[in-house]
Amino acid sequence: MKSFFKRFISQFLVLCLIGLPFTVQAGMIGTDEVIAQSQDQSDRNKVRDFMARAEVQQQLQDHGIGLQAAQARVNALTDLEVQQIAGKIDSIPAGADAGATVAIVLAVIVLIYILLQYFYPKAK
Amino acid sequence: MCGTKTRVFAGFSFMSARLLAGFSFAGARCVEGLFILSVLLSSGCAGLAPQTDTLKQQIPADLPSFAEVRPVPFFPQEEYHCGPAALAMALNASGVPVTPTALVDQVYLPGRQGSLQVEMLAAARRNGRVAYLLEPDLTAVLREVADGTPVIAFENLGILFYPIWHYSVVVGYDLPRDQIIRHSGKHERAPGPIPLFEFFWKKEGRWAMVAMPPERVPATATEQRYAEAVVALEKAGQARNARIAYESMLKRWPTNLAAYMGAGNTSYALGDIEVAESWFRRAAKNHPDSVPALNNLAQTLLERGKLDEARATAERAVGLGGPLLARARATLDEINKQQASVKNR
Repeated sequence: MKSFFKRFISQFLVLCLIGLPFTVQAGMIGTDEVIAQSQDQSDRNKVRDFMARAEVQQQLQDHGIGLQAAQARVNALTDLEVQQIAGKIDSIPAGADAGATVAIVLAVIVLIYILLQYFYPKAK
Repeated sequence: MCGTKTRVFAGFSFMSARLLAGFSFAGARCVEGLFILSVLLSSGCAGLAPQTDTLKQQIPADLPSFAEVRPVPFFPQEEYHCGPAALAMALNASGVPVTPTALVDQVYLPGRQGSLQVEMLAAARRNGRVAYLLEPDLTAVLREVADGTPVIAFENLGILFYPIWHYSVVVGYDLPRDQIIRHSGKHERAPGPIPLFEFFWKKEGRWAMVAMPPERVPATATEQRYAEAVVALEKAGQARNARIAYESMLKRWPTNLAAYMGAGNTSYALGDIEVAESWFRRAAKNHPDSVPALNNLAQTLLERGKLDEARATAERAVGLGGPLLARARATLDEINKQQASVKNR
């Protein structure tokens, strides 16, 4: 159901981009275009980048960030960085260093260690 | 000798030692460090810290044997806030007087109780610094420190399948003593064995970043990647800082097109159209076959009312063809329109 809406929205956006009387803008070529390894400016890439950014912004909000803050944070990410985390914010590493959790982990591991000592009496 | 069983026992042994050290993180790390070190020394487990091994066998002649960055202000981290703390330390060292509390809204993610690596880069940009990801190489980290730049390193202090992710700030090293010095957690200038640092650092791909003041270029920066980093700063809306960074790039890479174009584009964005014109002229002089240089020069000349020269420049741009032809044509059309309307007055 969710993927249906995603496809629908992306196709709709592509139509919007193509359907409008969209003349090429006169004006400055951006520095990002100068360093781009490929000049692939296809509409589909633009839509994909837009969707990825919207997705990341939504995920930030889902994780406790307010709307404006989420927008500001996504805006400071590069396209590549957005690609790297879109859809994965639940699982990618997040630096935290939680002192308390370490103790619980230790207890479990010590238990396993004791069991292993039982089966392999001499640690090599 | 460094088989899986040995490693497993080494791991379990030191984790139990951590327990014995009374759940104290610092105490546990000390004991843990001794265990890993003893394993490394006794069985020569090169696999656990390969880059340290290589470094020790052949220290580069141009790498100082000892270095320390001073001052790097220390902020003890609050629980889960090693991201804001580490970033605050690096930013302060680069000249931005920001506190960890101010960075929490930029980099801390409550739902994950931590900070994402890409957001550390983005937040550095928002504070006007060039965020540059280093090569995944221990020597690169040491070189940056030797150059006077503290390095934010991402570590995994956990074991086996239980990760404990953490940011620390590398502020010094001492090769003869085999020590690396970090601001970490509540510990200021804490020394630790280099192989131990590498062991925790390599688990997540050896991620390390620097937050550069725009006047300086990282010692280990490469041309394309640094250009990308400065463009990212520009796109984050930091035109003034980005312009300085582009100018700094030209000191190291005097013919870099992106640096000229960036200096021009940021000047334009800041409203310094005269300065923008001179940058685009220099770009076109160094890169006469660059459509972006000619196009942007033409556009600038148009806005300054120098229509004849604008048209000639735009025609050159169009003549070069290429993937940006449509843009160059649009600029030329605009110039022709302006010239026609001037004639008709």
